[in-house]
Amino acid sequence: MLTNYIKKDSLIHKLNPAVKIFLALIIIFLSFLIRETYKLSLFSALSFILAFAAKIPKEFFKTLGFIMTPLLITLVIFHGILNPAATQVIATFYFLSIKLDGLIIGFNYFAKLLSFVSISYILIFTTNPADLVASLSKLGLPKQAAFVTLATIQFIPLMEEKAKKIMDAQQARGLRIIGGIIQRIKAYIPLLMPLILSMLDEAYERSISLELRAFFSKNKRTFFREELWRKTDTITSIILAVIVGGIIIV
Amino acid sequence: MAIKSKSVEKNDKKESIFKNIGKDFTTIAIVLIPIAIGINQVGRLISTALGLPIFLDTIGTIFAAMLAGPWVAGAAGFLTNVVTAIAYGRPTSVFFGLVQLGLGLVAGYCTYKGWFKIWWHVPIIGVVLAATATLITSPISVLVMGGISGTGIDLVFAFFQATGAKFWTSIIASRFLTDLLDKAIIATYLPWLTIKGLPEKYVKLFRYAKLIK
Repeated sequence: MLTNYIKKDSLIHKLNPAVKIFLALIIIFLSFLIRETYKLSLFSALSFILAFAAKIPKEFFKTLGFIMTPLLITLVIFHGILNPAATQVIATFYFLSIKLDGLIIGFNYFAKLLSFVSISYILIFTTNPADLVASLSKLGLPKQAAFVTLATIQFIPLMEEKAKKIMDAQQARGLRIIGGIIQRIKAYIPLLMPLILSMLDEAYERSISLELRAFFSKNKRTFFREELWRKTDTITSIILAVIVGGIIIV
Repeated sequence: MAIKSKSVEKNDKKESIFKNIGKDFTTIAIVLIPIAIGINQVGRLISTALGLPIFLDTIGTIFAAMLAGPWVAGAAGFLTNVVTAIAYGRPTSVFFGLVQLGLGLVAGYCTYKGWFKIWWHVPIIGVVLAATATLITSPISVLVMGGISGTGIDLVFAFFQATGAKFWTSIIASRFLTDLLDKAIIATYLPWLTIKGLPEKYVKLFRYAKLIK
């Protein structure tokens, strides 16, 4: 299965997925509503604390740095130097001038992105995708959508493996995948076509097995994965609600 | 067989496209969604392996549009980016799911109207798709990311900015240039060629495939 879930034994991992989903949705929504940079930074700080509470600080900051550093560099360059709306020049190198208000705009965008990316990571890293989908479908996600999400996560590694096999097989038969750009674009077709056709076969078989198992049955469903609502869930959600509310008011 | 009778219905071309939403999601169409998402991801994988300068991550969406119509394709397109966010750890891609959604809807509508039947229509629809992608991407990239994407497109953008073009002009021009290469040339032709050569066995399974053949 293709997932970023890190198995650890912590309070955040044991939390009901519904709490984490609501927290993530609220913070993502607020990230785009709130303009003040310091409030956005406080939201990121909350996610950082949660990362430590979930015992995954190493993985969390590594992934965050990997994703956010290039964004920080490009944002600072584009808004600090190239943004035509900025005027306050603070330093000039040859023909490039760095502008203060441009930098402020750049950092504001960065804070926005950081606050919602870090809370998404908390959700992704601490929740098993199967539990996530199970609690989403209890909250009213249609079973078709639940099936599609889980099936996709299982399908992609399978297809990647198949694609590699096809690449090897076609090269063994004399397909040239190096050379000029036209040559390489031409090579794309014999690589993707067999994959698509074999996957259509697979789709047909899967649709038969879904219908055999009464996928479209209107009866009430039961769940293999049961997530119970514990007392700690209530306490944690109240604490989190107070913190988020506090950040909005401050 | 149950699947066949559900998928193939007569005279459904005359119905309004909005009445088809429920009907479009047949069992095989639902199973097609994970596959379309997989093709989107693997398409990018192969493109990287071949060292091509374009992403080619919309082939699956357009393929789904040609087989199962706009609604299924839109869902597949949007979910592609949701899955990218969850599985590959890139949360910002969720917002660009709207681009895939739009592409799926437009490509599906063109299929529904039967515009894919004639070969020289394909590049024209490709240009329309590229324009759709540009129109949706540009505002999103400005609102969410402040105009940047963190990829090679930024260099094209910087080039336009350096020549003295306005902010919006440079964003739209840089996006359109890359989208044109990606969508208009390969991402539309490849699924179209596949479906033109599709065995009759598969064409029967999907409602929209016969509108292209």
